Amino acid sequence: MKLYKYFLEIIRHNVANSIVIILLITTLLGWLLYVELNTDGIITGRVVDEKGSPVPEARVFIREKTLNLIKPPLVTETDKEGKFIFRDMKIIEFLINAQKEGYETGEDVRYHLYFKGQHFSLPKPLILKKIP
Amino acid sequence: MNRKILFRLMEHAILILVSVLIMIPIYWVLKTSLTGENLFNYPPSLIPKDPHIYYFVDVYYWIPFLRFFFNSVFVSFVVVVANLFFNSMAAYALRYSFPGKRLLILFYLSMMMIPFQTTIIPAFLLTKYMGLLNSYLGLAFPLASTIINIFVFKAAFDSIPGSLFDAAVMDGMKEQTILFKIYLPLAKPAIATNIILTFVWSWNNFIWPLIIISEKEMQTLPLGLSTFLSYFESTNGQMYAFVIMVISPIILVFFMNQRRFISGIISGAIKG
Repeated sequence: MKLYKYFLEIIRHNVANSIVIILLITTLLGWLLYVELNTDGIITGRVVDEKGSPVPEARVFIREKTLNLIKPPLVTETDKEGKFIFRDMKIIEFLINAQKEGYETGEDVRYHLYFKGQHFSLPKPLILKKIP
Repeated sequence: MNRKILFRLMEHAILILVSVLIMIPIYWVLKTSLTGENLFNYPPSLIPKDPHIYYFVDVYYWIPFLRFFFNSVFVSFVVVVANLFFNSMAAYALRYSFPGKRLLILFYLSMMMIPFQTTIIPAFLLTKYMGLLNSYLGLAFPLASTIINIFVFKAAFDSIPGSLFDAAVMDGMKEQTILFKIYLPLAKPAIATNIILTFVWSWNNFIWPLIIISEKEMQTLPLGLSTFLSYFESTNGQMYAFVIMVISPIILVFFMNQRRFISGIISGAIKG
């Protein structure tokens, strides 16, 4: 009880400083809560052709990029709607591309996340060009 | 009247210009930490292009940042508490007249002129013999009391009327009660000055941790920064993001105690 009163007294005498500290702690706790609720490590996206039609059964390669090396790829396949999903991806930066027979190999696209295991949907679909 | 206004305007214009000049390097570090631009890009761009916080994320994950941060905070906390305790007691003792007081003050002042680098080897040996290598106490040990801060406290205590001390003695108060219940609450600017100076010195301390710390998990942030630079090359953005992460707590502590810090320094300047 005495300690509680002591802290109240400190806050009363340092209102501006207390507001700054409380704001900092609240922001930090809010961020930690957000991170805790969004660390499923799911990365999703779509593969389409030049006309925007989904490309089924395309192979999607994802490679983790660290500060000084690029790790070997993990692979998945797109479904009928051209969608793909990677699970348990505890990474913060990666390169992703798609490949399929009859199509040119797609270019690597680089993404950076805000925290490891962030639930992330690719903002743009991966585009595969048909070989003429 | 108009001349007075004109003079004030010019005064403010010059102050703003000087402030901007001082802020430019800090702004540049912040800008590079958000864009990763090469420092030597020509022509230099004042406004950051496509700013993002990914470099901060990289630093957070690629080094044990939280551990280094905790080490720095804990050591600085120990240093600040030790300084407040020992310096205030030393300054309180200097209130009394005793044989050799002037000699002692001269001794203190002369010790201030000896650079830390020259005492590193004996300090290291002492720390080693006490078994404090790779420990928080070992990190805090050389900064546990600083002479300049003793004089900051002394200046603050000298400005407190002697009658207050006499009244406390007549009321039967003990020495430690007089110090902690009367003198320290009346010396808040001196406390703020002590906190800021010792926090900054401890936070920025590089050479001492470099010498006594060999375990990675005991490193402090400045030491972590140098290790980080030696591991990675061409990491402009990450390097500057790390610098911002290292200096921002100091800036925060300074801004929070700025008013008291300045009044503490001024009181030391006119009464010390």
